[in-house]
Amino acid sequence: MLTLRLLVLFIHVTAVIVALGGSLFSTFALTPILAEELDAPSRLKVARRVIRRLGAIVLTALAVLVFTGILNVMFLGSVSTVLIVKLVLVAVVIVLALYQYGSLGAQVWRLSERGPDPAIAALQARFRRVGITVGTLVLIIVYLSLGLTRGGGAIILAALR
Amino acid sequence: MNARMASEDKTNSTPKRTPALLGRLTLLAVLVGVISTLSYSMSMPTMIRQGHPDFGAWWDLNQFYFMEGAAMALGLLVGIRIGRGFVSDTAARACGANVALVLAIIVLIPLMHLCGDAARIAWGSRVIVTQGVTIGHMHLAGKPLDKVLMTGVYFFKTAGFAALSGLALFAVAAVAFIGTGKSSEEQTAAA
Repeated sequence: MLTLRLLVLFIHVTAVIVALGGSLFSTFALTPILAEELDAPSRLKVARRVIRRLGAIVLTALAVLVFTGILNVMFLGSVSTVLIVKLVLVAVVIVLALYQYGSLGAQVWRLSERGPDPAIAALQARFRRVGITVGTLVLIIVYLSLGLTRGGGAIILAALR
Repeated sequence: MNARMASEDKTNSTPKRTPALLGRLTLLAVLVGVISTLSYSMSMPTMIRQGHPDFGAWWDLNQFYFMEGAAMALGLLVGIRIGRGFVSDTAARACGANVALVLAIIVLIPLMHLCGDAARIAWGSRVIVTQGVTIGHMHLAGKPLDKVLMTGVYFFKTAGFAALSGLALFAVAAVAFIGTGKSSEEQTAAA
């Protein structure tokens, strides 16, 4: 029952849930509620802390995904076009997440130190857009993963064509 | 968005310069990689053994690990450098790259075996080609250019898996420093 393969798969799936769930919760639940319920200075205070903490959680989860993913490739024992597409998408997701938290998030964090700033709203909107893109790409990756393990890579490729 | 990111990179080209250490290490990895890959694929130890038997024997035993290690190091460094390029926070970029470099050195050997094994999985196959089989196959069959091509593909596959690992290592390292430094824009303005 408890094999190394299952344990690695469990960590891999948990990392996906953490990365995707965190991003979706922040984008679709937390941000709209903050905008409705809090005044600008308080909202900013919460948002800047959320950005930093969520960044740590999401980027760490993505790193765990990469290492458990390489182990999963070993267990799968097969390299296909779908897997290559998936790996490229993973690289794009990490790069976008780094840009989101390491560039946009850091700018929001720094600008908000001195209180509300007119430049922050635009940065936050961009931050949200990149977050949605990352979430969408992760969903595509999840679909490709299911195709690799359950449906067979050829089926997905045929559907894409 | 890519165009916007690219334009940001252009405007902040000075602060985003690659540190000398990362550049030199990348160059070293490329150099060792090219030499060991060519040596492995063209059976150089046989020639070396004629002049220097001891060194030739040692190189014959270790050239594969030099090639795999160089591919791994190159991939990790490329991953760290790519990740670094998308972070504008100076502390996260500089300290993140340094911490990622230390982490990369720590995990180099275990990851080298892991990524090497993953790279040996043949296309569309469920069989992992072992090192011995690879050596035998390359030495028995194929013209010199075929051997170089096969070994080169293996080198780049290992480097590809390593690049993903490098990106992941940089992400983990950089996250601790996000928000603690100035942005590239502020640095440019100050300059």
